[in-house]
Amino acid sequence: MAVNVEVAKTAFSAGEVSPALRARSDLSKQQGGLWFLENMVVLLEGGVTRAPGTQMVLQLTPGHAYVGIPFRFAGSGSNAYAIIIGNGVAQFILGNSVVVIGGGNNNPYTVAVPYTDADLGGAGATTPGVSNLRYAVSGNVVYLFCDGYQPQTLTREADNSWVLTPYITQPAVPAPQGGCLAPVANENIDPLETIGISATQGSITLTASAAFAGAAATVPNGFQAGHVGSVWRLDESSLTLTPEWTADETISPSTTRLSSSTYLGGMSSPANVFDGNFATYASQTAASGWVGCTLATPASIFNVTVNCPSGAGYFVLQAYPISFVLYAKKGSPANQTDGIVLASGSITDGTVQSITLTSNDQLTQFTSFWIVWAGVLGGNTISIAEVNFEGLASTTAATLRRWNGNVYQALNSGTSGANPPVHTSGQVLSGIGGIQWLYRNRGYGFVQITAVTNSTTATATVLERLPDSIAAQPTANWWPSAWDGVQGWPDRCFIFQNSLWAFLKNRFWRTQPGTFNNWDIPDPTSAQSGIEGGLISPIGALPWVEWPMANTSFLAIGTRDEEWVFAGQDPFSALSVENLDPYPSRQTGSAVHIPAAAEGGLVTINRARDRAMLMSLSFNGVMPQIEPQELTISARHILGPEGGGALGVSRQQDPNCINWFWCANGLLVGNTLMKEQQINGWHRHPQHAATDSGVNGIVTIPSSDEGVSWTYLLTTRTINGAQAQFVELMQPFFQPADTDAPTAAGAWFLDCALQYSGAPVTTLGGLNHLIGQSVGVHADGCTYLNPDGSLPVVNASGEITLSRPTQNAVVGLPKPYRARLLPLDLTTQKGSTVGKKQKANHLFLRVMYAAGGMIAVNPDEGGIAEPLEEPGVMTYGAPVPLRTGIIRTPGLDVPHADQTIVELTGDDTMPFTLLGVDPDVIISEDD
Amino acid sequence: MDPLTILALGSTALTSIGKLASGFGGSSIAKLQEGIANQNTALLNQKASDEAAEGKLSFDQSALDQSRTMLQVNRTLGAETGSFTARNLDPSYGSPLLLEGFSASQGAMDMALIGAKGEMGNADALLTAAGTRAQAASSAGQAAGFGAQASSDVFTGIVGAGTALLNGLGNPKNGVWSNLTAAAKAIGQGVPGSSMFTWSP
Repeated sequence: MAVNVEVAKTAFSAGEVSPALRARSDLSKQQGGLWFLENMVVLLEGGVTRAPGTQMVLQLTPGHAYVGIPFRFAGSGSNAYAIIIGNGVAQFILGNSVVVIGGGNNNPYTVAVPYTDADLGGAGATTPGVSNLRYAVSGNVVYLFCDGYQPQTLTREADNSWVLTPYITQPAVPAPQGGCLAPVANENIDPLETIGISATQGSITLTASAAFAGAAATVPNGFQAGHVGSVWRLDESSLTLTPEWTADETISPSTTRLSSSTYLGGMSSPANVFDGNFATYASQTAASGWVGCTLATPASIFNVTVNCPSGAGYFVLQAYPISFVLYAKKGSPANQTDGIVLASGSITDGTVQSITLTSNDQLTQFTSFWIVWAGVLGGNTISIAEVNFEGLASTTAATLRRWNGNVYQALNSGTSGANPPVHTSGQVLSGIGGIQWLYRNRGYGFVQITAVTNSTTATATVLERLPDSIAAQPTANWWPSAWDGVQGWPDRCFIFQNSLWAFLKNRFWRTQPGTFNNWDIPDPTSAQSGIEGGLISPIGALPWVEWPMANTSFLAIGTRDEEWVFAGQDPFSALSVENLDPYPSRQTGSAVHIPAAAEGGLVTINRARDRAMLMSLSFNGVMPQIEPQELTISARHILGPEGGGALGVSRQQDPNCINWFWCANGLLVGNTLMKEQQINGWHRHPQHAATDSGVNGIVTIPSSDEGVSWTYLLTTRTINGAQAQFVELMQPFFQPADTDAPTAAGAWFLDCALQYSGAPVTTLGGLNHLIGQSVGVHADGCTYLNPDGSLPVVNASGEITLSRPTQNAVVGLPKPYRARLLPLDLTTQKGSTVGKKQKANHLFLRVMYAAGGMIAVNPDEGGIAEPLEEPGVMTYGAPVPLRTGIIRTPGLDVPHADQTIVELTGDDTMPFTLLGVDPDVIISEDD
Repeated sequence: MDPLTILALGSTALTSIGKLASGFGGSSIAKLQEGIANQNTALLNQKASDEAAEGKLSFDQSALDQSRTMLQVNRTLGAETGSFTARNLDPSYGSPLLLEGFSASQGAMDMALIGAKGEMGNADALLTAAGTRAQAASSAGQAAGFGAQASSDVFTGIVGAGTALLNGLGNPKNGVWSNLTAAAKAIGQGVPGSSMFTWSP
């Protein structure tokens, strides 16, 4: 006697569950679970739908490792990029288009990057498949951090104009207002280890003492090649070398003679007036004339002295008075009056041998200086032995005063007045008749090493002007770089609370708030300072930072053993080292990867790479905390045994809140996650088997219209016998153009596909990336098959030929799907049906926008998959209509089995969303 | 000798004796004042010594304060190290080390200020002691003055007596008086070497 039992399965929210859970019919997860769910995704509503296919966007040079970086700059319109880095270059995808070189050239625009395959998870990688490259994004800048490399910045200037530069660069604005102030390690405390400098600005030579290069020195073995690119801080060698500012001090700055070999005027032998020899002179027989010189570097002038020839005693024997005027100009004068008059005077006495004119502008810098003389009686000759322009040139020893830690240079003669200089850039006048103070330095400066000659000698570029005292006396007050090629560059980064955070092993650095490049710590107690420190685990674990991530209130850090909360003792106050209170909140342990922000927390991969965790970041009213929850608890098989271990994760927020994992064996795994709706469904996405395809990376960005998240897959496929690598854009989840009369037009369930839209054609070309492959064709809303029922094959020219013309077609690799329900474990009046012979000859499918597909019952026992309906093959002219509602299957040829298993499959190009299954189970009772 | 002369001599003698008595009386007062001044001097010298000792005390106090500050600094640094360690931060690197260096430098500055305060206290004490010693010197000077005044009063009495005798005797006819008169005149004129300067009552 047989018993009919109708069962309703109306939710698949758990997705594919672990085989170990198949017998747990008592669990709610089991009720909503599936045996298999392949190339379909769990919907937030509980149903499952076909995973969309992909569009081939960019073909990559094969044989290399690639990673994707999401980037969104502060612009309007389409402003989200997927940056693909690999094979020594960065390539850019804006929206769904590859950025190409302009001028009609369709070559992808590239920027050279230094990272190798080993750095990006390729051959030679420490962990195969796992990239060491990390990034943080702000404005139009991508900060790139990678183990073994000086951090870089990739700056967007235009869609097809990007610049990669080392992160530590010459500041555009003098510090401390701007520029890049790198972090430094602990200060040297050995007075015997000194560093001298050849100059305070520009390219300089650093010369260290012998003790500096000792094996046990502050920097063991002194300068090394790995220090190139590192930034060091040098402090004053001695405060006694720079006098303190005092009130009402009369100051006359040191000056130097300003001269060059570029002479001005019409005097004979003008060089003689600049040679310092009073016995030689220049002369001219003219009533008036001029003599001077033009400098290569601008300088300011204090005064000029004009001397008569030695022994003669006169400028001119017969004529007095003779007037003299001091002129200056920025640039070369066109004539003797083409300048600014700075001083004038005259000689009225024939016994006077010289005249000195004091400039009325000692601050402005000029390049040309000259004197104009006039008043010589006709026919007489004026002879001048020396013209001495005295002023401040760039090489002039500066007259310095110190105040409040800053050093200022007196630019002119005057009195210091009552108010000390306090400015930290430019020049400020102390008062009428006072000193113009030029901010010089703040008692220390920064250099970036550019080359290392030996252990005690290196060349460097000054990033922030160095104190003059170091040039006079080597300093023992120096701070070695915190980052360099010797002790390592930071390899983790994150932007949190408007600061850039960097990490290297257990050490961390934070920029001053509001900056992304100023790591300076002028006052360690101030929240405005940078922060630098090292983590020590309270339980002796290894606190090497594997990933930093944050929500709006605190930073979370994952290490191999623990998850740390990085917050202040008072979480509402600004962070400073005085209230910073990092602590390990959980001991789950993480693998090296970049977590995905999701559900107010982070989706992470455990250190064995076989489980996924949701790290909820919360505040319990007393302190922030991390609450881990294992997402794979119902699908322990999926990342480890099936995928060989998850390598990375990317969150596709819209529309279905899916965490996409790529695994070591190329398997793509999805996890639909919405915590508040208790949706945690897993699904596998086997790639095209015939091409040995796999997914090696994922990057997700917002779509151009912000409507959905665009997920790009970095894939590897074997095409025509050779490896090929692609960037493919996962297509939007299918929505019919007309929901009242839905059709399959616009469906895209083919991978690595391209779309044609235009005039009716029978030959579709441009498929070179699929040469030799059997491809699926979705033409005009229908699944196309050759007349013999086979798939078209792309020929050597990258073309396929259809038997009928099409004007809208998608061509790509087929993407079969499968959803197998868990055994229907029923309980009748006589107990469990398990083990009783049973089958279901017909069933009801609750579907939405569905076409095509096949259904089988007890397939492992020989149940044949039967088409649900005609898939629309060869029905050109009208797209296949889609069904929404209940499909009653035809009578199925079903063998009896110990349990009833229903399986939905399909390899067509039609949409299919399954909302529920109602099998009519027939149980053969044994009594 | 006629009665008038005898009377005159008697009168002269009385006057002379009066003068002598007056001179010896003034000398006694001055001697008393000298003694007081000498006592003051001794007291002031003792006071100056005590005040100078306060300078050393100031040093000792500052040394004590410095050691207390040092202890406090060490406690602060220890507390900071403990705090950083409790907050899972390596106290030997970066900002924690800078902060402790900051605290240590503040402690060093405090100790330097305390030392300077001790120096200033010592200087103040020495200055006060010097002032007191100056007072002692002044008092010693006063004592010396009073001593000199005492001698001067005796001398004045002798001179007064002599003068009275001379005035009463008129022009003596014998050499004794003449010699006496000469001597008195010599004394009255303050001739150095006069035996009256070595006279002691």
